[in-house]
Amino acid sequence: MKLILWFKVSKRFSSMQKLKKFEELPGPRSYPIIGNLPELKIFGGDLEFNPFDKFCIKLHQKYGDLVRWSILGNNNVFVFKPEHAKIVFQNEGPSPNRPSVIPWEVYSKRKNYPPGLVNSQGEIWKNQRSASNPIVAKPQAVAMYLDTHNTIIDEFINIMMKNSSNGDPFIVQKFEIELKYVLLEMMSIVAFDQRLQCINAQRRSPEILKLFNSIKDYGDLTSQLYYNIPIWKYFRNSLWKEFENTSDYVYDFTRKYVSESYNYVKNLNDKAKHTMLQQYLLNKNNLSFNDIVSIMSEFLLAAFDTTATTLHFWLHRISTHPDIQEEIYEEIMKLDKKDYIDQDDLSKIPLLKASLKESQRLHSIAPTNGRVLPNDIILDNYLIPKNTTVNVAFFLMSKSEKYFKNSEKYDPKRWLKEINSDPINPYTSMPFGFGSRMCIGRRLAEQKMYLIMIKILKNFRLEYVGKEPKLGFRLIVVPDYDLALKFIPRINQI
Amino acid sequence: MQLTQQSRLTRKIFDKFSVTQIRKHGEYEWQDPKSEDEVVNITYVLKDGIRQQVRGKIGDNILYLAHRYKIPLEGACEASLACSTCHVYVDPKYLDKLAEPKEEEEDMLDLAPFLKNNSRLGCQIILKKELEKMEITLPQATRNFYIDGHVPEPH
Repeated sequence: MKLILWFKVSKRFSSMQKLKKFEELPGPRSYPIIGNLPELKIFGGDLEFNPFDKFCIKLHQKYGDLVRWSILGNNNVFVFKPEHAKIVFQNEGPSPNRPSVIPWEVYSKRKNYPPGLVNSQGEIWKNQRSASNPIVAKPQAVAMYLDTHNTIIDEFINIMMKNSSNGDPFIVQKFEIELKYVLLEMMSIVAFDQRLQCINAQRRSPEILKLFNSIKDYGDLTSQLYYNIPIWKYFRNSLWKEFENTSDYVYDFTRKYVSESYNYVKNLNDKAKHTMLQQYLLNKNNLSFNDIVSIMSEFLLAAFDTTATTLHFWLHRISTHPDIQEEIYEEIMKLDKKDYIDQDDLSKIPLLKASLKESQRLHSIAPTNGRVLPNDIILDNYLIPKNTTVNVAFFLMSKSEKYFKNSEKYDPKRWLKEINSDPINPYTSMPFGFGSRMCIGRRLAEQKMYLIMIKILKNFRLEYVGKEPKLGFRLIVVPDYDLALKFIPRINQI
Repeated sequence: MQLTQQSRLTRKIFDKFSVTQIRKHGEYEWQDPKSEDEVVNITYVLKDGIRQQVRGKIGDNILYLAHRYKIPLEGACEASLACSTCHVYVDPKYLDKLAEPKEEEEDMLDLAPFLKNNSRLGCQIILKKELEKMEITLPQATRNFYIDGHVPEPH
């Protein structure tokens, strides 16, 4: 395979002039050893890592589509062109190396916990991922969770309905919070084998409230650690301690539930349907108890904020585009089902799916997708040596007028063109990443989001009644505004 | 390998003149054939050798047709030619009856594990009458999931 790649690369570039070196790439002035350190605000420059999306935007504006960045011998390239993104991902190798989230890595090391799927590399990653794929990622596996997901969302819709007397419209000021509890409940049944009973605001226990806040703080604290001078690597400052306490809470919470489930399945020998956690514990795999705790904790930490954020943006778009909302409603009504949404239904909702894709195009929550490449590659006649960290900034390409006409416009139908006359380059928008290291929860998240949207829109017409949207950043780009929605029950129309 | 590469390069040149393809999103495959004239019967051969016969129709996409009948063909990129998770082997007798692969398809196939001369991406195969009785074989593993091929023994 390598031979073929090499053949292709050499074919493509043999006619070109001599390759240029990494150091010749556009980028800020670099000094020996310290690299671009003086560019940072704390050293008198005008760049800062946090928020990271703004950092990427500044690099792009100043230096163009391919930018070099190094600090203390750590070489990075920022890629802002789909053609380059394609080359990067095609050369990621069989066991792609994604740069670690350093604070999480340091945390597991200090605690002597194994890394989970986010940070593991090489053989450890392969082992964890191959044990996880059949449980979490394969389409057939994801369909197994339809029953519980349907049930939880139906319960939620029933609670929502109680806000309305006689089918009158009502307003929820911070709908994003309700959504997060629904997602937490959906997560807990597959990851902890337990219902946390947190959909209903009156029934939330103090333990759940603390878990909820810990998960929220976790992203924020990680950002603060990750994108500032890493003093915490050398001694535990107050920020680190806060982060550690937050992580401890989530890990201990997970450990408790995994232990309970472990004791339960030990005596189990039936072949009944098992939850995600039970499968992890029962399947023949090379995972230790601690591996499973790490993986489960990460599901809780990495999957929850991302899904909630994506839904927040999506619901905002749908509630501010009544025409599209109406068309999606018609599509849903064609499904001709009362409540239960099955796998077949989910393949008959192209517009709804496109409307999520379009929302993700405009609100790519991850600023960059990174890879540390196992081999040299050539981008624009520059030789990028192996072990360079390449950061692909999809979030800028997917909003660029260069690749999308009327790029600012929320237009789900651009994904549904029947005639492929003006095809969209897939490397402009990859909200879940690429290849074997693609977000493992992608299908699960999509399934949850589709179900939530279908059931909400089936029951309510939505109107956004909140303020002008603003963006924030906590490891991912997040909305910094309340999702204030007016719910107009559809009951009268059925 | 060199030979395959040669023919691929030739194909690429021809590809420049190919017509635009119709892109659909899986809902078309849910319609049953309206008459017998439309029917195209094909067989999917699964990883474990199980043969599943499917009654498709003209215009059906191999990937989405597989989804309808719960055949484990993934299609992670939804036919946008950015993955090889719908990699299949086409019955050699039928290979010439298919439209030539585009350069993007070739690029993705190059990354697919267990590549053979009759490898194609399922999402690029559209059924027509000449494909009656075609066999589509699923590979041992695809790129996104290929590490599953290795099943570790418990300690």
